[in-house]
Amino acid sequence: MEHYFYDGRDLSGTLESHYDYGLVVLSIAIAGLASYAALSVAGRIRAADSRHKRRIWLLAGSLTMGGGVWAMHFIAMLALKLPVAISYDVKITILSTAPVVLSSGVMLEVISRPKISKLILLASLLMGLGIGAMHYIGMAAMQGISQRLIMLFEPRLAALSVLTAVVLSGVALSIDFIVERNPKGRHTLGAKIGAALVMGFAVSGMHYSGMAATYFFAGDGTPAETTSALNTAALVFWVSFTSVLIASLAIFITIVDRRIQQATFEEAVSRFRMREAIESIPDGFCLFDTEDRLVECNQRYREIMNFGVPIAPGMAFEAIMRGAVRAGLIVVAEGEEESWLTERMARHRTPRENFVEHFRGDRWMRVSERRVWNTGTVAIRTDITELKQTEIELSKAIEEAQKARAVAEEANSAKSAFLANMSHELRTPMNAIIGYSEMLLEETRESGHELFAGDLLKIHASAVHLLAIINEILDLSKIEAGKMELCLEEIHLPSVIDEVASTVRPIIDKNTNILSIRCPDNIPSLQADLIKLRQILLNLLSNAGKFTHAGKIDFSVAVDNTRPENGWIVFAVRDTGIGMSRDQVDKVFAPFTQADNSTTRQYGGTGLGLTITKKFCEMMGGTISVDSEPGTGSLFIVKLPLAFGR
Amino acid sequence: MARILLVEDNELNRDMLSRRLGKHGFEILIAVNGEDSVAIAKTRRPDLILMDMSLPVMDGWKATSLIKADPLTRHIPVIALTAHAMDDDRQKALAAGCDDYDTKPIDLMRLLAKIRQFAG
Repeated sequence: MEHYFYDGRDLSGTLESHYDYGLVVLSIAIAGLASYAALSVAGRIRAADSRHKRRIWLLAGSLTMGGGVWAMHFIAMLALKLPVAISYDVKITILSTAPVVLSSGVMLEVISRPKISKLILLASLLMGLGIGAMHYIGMAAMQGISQRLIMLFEPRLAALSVLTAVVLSGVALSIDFIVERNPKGRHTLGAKIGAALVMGFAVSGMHYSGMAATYFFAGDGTPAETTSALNTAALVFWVSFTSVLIASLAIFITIVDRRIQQATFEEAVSRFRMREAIESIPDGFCLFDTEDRLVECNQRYREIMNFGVPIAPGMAFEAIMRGAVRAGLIVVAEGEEESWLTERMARHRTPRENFVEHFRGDRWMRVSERRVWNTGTVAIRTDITELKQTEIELSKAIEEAQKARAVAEEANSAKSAFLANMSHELRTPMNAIIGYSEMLLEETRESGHELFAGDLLKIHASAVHLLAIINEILDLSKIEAGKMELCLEEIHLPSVIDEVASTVRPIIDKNTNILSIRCPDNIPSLQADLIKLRQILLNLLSNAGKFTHAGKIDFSVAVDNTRPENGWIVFAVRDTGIGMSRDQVDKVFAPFTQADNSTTRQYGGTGLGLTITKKFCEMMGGTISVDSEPGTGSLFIVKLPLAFGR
Repeated sequence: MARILLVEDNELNRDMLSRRLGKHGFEILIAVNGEDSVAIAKTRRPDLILMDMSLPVMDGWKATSLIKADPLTRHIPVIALTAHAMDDDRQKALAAGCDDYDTKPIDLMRLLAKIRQFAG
């Protein structure tokens, strides 16, 4: 085969040629497919996280693009039907792929860089030239089998064909460039296919316009010197093989690419959601990695820890804490910053329970730090200022209450001591008054001076009354100070009842009352304080005697076994005396509240008897109750447990 | 007639009680504190001792226990005179070796009955 540039010869001898249009379409499809695969590979090159991967993808991309151009060229050559038999030189055929593989490599290297700008022009130029070089080297591999083949190239049209390749490459790469850097990043598939089609047209357009600039002539009859040549069948095989390879690669990369894109998109969505969630936490949130460097935090955390330097991922935990302490954000005693930080670091390394940090402006943060396995440490800061203030106020209030209580207790015990002393001091002269008046009374009577006996009797009675008051005040003060002790013993009730009855007899008789006593023979013994029981019964009976005139007083003792596990003794004193109104009943056990003041004058008594009686009942685990009606009489009921203190 | 040692620090009570008991024909010896009472009990050998418990120098419980510890005086009955104010005085008196007790203010009839029981 001989190649010449067109020399103006007569073109009437041109070999007749026509195209198989099915193969033409196939050739264009292969070019588009290869372009799509190559541009997709550019995305993989971009995403590669190591040099090694980057090189592998770059190689695959270059071979795909180069192979694609090559396959396009030879499918198009198969589509061209010439009247002479054609074969292809093996070496030149293989060699023809070299320039386009290299230029594809450069092109991919350029478009996979983060910034390309003007380099894209160089890449387009190289790509166009690479395609052109492949085409013309591929043409040079063509040879006639039985007769020589002469090719004439029309130079201007040939140059135009290369320019077509350069321009369309530029357009394709520009589209790809814009699509890949589209910040919204979605629906790029269509644009990508567009870019691949344009690139495919750059390849096929160059080829077919180049073919339009080519004229074939038959040489003379001498057979060509055939080198090792590929016949049409072999070419079909290799071209098909390459095409299938490219198509498979394109499909494979498409699937992988879509999957990766999907995953990337989902990751972005999930990351966005996570960020939103973290930001919506009302507390300060932060995550530190295993190296104790900040991975993530929310705005609230930045506000809380705002020590003047913007808090950004990568900052060391210690640096943030140190910054916060230095800026006086966290309140730490002066001179103790280092030891505080040391302790804080230790606590951070082995977090156990929540703790509280005191911030400037009397703000309190509850800090909850947790180790997350293989990830680092998560911390939450919650503002508990209000809670803390309430707590402080509460503890102040408690302290004040305790102080007040201590003061009150002290005052109470001082009062008790004063009462005890005073009572004792009062009693001594009272003894003398009572003793001397008794003595005088005896002597007056013996010496016949009856004139003075009445007045002496009044002195004596008043002194006895005064002494009784003093004694009862003392009793009450001892009870209230909790100093009254119980002396429990086994009490034989019939003898106590006899004794009490004989003691009150004079009071009963004085108002011409009738006392009837009912006590079952088999009454059990009672566990109680004898002196106090005696005082209770004396009180009730003498009251009944005092407030009843010419009436009846019933004193009954009974056992209440309604609840077998703890039996009770019930003492009931019923009189037919003056009785009490509802109001009087309500106050009857309160100190110094005899029914009214005139009562005291008329009936005597201290006004403390029933108060003490009630206290004694309660001390022994019992109760006292009263039922009364004015003009009808009163009923006092005392219930004591049979076995108190046992 | 029986001889009674009255141990009492309050002058008025001492005077009053000694005169009233004297009127009932008892011979009265006086001690004004616990220490005196132990000495007088030893030297004068009364038939009965009326012992106030709150006393200066040596209190009634201590004096009683000394009297009861001495073979010369241990047979002498001791009646404690306790103040109403102190419930546990009674137990303490009996624990110290008193034979009986009576409470102040003195009810003369009751006291005379107790005295006659021990020194009739």
